[in-house]
Amino acid sequence: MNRPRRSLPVAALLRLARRLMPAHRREWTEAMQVETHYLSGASATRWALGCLITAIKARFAPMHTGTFRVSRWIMLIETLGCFGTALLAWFEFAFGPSGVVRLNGEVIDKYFLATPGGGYVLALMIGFAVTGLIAPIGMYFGLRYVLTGRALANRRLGWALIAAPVIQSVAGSIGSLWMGTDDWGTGLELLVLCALLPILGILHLMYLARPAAPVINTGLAPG
Amino acid sequence: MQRTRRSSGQTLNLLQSLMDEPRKWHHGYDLSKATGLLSGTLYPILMRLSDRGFLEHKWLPSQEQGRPPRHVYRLTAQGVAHAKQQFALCDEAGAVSSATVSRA
Repeated sequence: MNRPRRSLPVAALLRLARRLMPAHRREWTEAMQVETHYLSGASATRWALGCLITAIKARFAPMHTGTFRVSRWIMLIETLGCFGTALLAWFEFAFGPSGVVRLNGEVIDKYFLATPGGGYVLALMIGFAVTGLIAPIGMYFGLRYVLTGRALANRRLGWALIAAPVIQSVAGSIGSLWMGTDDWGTGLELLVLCALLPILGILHLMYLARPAAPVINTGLAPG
Repeated sequence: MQRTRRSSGQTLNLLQSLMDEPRKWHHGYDLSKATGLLSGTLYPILMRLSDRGFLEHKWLPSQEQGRPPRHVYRLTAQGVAHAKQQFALCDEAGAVSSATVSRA
């Protein structure tokens, strides 16, 4: 059968569409490509561009689930991203050379109680050592999900973990305003890394603990 | 109670074109011209309708000499019922919005 020659851009677009289209949709690629034999010039190019768009849509369609349910591998990356930095910061704060566990009466008297606002700083430090527990606990639940598929089902614990960095951030902000300094752990980077990301991680783990909604086949095409 | 979802305007447009002559086989370019939908919009809708059993398709030899067979489409009985249901939903929605406008 003599088929008219396609122009180079049309042929290139169709070749790309063929490569991108999932295998089970191959018949549809053929269907779209055949139509270009009945078109010419700009119409054929527009049609071929549509083929490419269709192939891209078909490639992405299975990824769009409309939920926040993720694979365990994605959760591993998310866990490290959400809790990793906060965990290091918390560990340093609690157990580092100037960590809370190394505080003693002499240090507290000399460096905190004897300086203006030092008591508040001390309270914040101890507070962060406690509220920062969101990081190790979040890391534990995240890794547990990766290994076993079990998320954070205890909602009270989840909300407590979320409330802790919020309270800490508010307290830090009040302290900063009171003392006229912005060096009290309320910088944007610190808030994002040690409060916002862990909170999002916990929220996601709580979401994953909810039973998945049953898939209702309405028999209707979406959109 | 399970609610019936309304299709998009583009899907309704396509259903309308297919319903104009429900027993006739339509090829893609025909449908594109009739609906004004570009191929990148038209084919994903055709695929969805086909996946849900609303559309049947086959290869039809071309009547033009030297041209390849074309993929052609028409609604199944289930598809016709679905189209009618969708048009009814649209009418209801239209009636509701008209009533709302007249009340206002």
